[in-house]
Amino acid sequence: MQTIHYLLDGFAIALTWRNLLLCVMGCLWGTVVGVLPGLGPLAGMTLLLPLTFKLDPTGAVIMLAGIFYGAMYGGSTTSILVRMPGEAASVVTCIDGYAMARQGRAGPALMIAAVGSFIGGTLSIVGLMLFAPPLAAAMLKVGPAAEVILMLLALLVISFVSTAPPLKTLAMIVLGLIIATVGIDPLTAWPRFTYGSLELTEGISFVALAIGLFGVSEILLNLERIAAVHPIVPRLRELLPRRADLAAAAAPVARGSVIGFVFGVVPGVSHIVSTFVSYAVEKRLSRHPERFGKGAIEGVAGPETANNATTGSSMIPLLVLGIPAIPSTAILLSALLIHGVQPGPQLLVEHPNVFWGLIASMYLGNVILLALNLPLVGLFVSLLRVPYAYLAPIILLVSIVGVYSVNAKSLDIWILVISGGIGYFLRKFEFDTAPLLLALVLGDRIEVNFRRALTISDGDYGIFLKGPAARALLSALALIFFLQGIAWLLGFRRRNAERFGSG
Amino acid sequence: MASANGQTESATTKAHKASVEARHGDAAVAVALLTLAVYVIWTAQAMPVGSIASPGPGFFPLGLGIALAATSLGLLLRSRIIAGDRSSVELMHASVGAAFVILMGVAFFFDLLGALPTLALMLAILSRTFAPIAWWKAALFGIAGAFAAWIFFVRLLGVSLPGA
Repeated sequence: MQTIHYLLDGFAIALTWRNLLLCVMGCLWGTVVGVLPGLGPLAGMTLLLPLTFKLDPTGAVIMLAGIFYGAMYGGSTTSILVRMPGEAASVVTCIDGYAMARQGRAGPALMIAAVGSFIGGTLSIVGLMLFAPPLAAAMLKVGPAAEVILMLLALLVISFVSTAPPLKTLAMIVLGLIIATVGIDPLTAWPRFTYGSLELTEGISFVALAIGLFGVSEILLNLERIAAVHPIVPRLRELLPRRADLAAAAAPVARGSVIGFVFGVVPGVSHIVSTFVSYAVEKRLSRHPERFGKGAIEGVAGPETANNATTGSSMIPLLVLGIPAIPSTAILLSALLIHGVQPGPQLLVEHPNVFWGLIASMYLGNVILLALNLPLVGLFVSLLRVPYAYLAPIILLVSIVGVYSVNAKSLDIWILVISGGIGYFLRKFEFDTAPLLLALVLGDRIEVNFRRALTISDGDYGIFLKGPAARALLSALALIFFLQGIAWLLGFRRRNAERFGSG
Repeated sequence: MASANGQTESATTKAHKASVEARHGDAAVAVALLTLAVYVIWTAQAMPVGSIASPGPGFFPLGLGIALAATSLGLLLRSRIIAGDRSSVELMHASVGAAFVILMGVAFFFDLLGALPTLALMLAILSRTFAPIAWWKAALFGIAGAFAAWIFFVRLLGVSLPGA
């Protein structure tokens, strides 16, 4: 009952004309960046970060969250119509979505993707609303030692689910933690790796590094394959699916909602992994798996629902634990910190208007996206006709000015450019840069809590084993190590067996 | 991500490609990380490291430097001995190299020339590099883009840019 009371308060905040406008703006911009290759939710959110400086924290987070889930909607449009995923979570949708479009069934594919996204997105907000408050209450009792283990667990899970080989992911995590040590030591004020530069005392700008590693490197990669686009755009009356389509999509949408919600809580590349898992599940459960890849509507409904269902649940680690599960939520974390709001278990107590306003706005945003996306599909796709020779420089301009505006330091432009170049090479050789960013965000807190815990215990490392929370987290950590070890051993043996087998 | 079927690669991206074996690229990244690790370990030793029971500001960088050294050695070993990937990776198209050099130029001239002239030049040169358009069109695009950036960021959002 109390939850409904809080939610109604949230709607009162989200339904003010200003916040509603910010939500619409976020959703529209999110769809645009989702449609455009090279601009995913991360870049889209960072580019509009300066705009949020003049807003209150609730308005800022409402707009940025709108971009986040709007991009998930937008990504599917180009996957279906041009076989060009606007962002990574829509790669799977290309397979059957584009096949449907080539069969003249782009309309039903778009409609099912939109409705699935709406259902998945909405159900995950219900989950966020129900699970976040009790989890936050439990987290308030956790001390610095358990917090260290929790964050180590998050980093380990990232290496577990990352698409890159574990050793490469581990290298990226350690690199991120090293970059996090640049600046003034938070406990003793000792300058580390600052070389006497005042600009470096606050550390390496997360926003510049994020945009460089993801946005600039994506543009550099896209420059290698500038291509002419010939979209298949359906008419409005062709959008309606047949009754058989709706029946076939119902179960995949339900399963996609659950898969997406569960994976959304897992740190790393959850929104991408959930789409692949959903596709694999649908193919395995189908009576006609041979239709997959040739225009099976289940192959669109499941993954599209799953990727949108991660948006709500990926907010749980951010809002309740202060741990961003994916790089996009790390931008939300940055935005909240800029506004003096610390995400974590205290958020619900100290800033309930931010939390409940955000939840209510997400319900509204999903309705807005469903209402706007289908009628405006032609307009969004026409953005792809803008030649990349003009689009790429504009994206770079906005990235540069956006990054500069955060701290007004030209050093951040150097960081942007250099990390863009490094990101290009790393991605070429299949290094996953998302774990680096998440390690950078968590690095400071891991170190501070680690040293604080040792100060409390007078140097006794036993503090990390004490208390039920620490023991539960430590058991989970050990279990993951064990599973990872077995997986590595099995893979190693299989490779050796294949090598011997093939002579 | 933009590799749609039925789409044709533009003329500007066809020339000047270099390709390397993936395992060589992995080894190069591993060597770069190892060099960084050695540097971090060396620099961290000059900081107060403290003790295991009471870590100082150098404790974490030192530990992480050692961890990075171990990981990069593992990567090097993997790329050369255990699971060397011999597939070829295309690197550094002419347009990618040009874009990177232009961006370095932007970082260098941003304060010196002022933000808007630098950005106008960047837009003009990048658009001319990526597509065979006339110079006057590229220049017009640069000026229009910088003007739009001024309207949006400086006038509308109140962002303070050098020289604007």
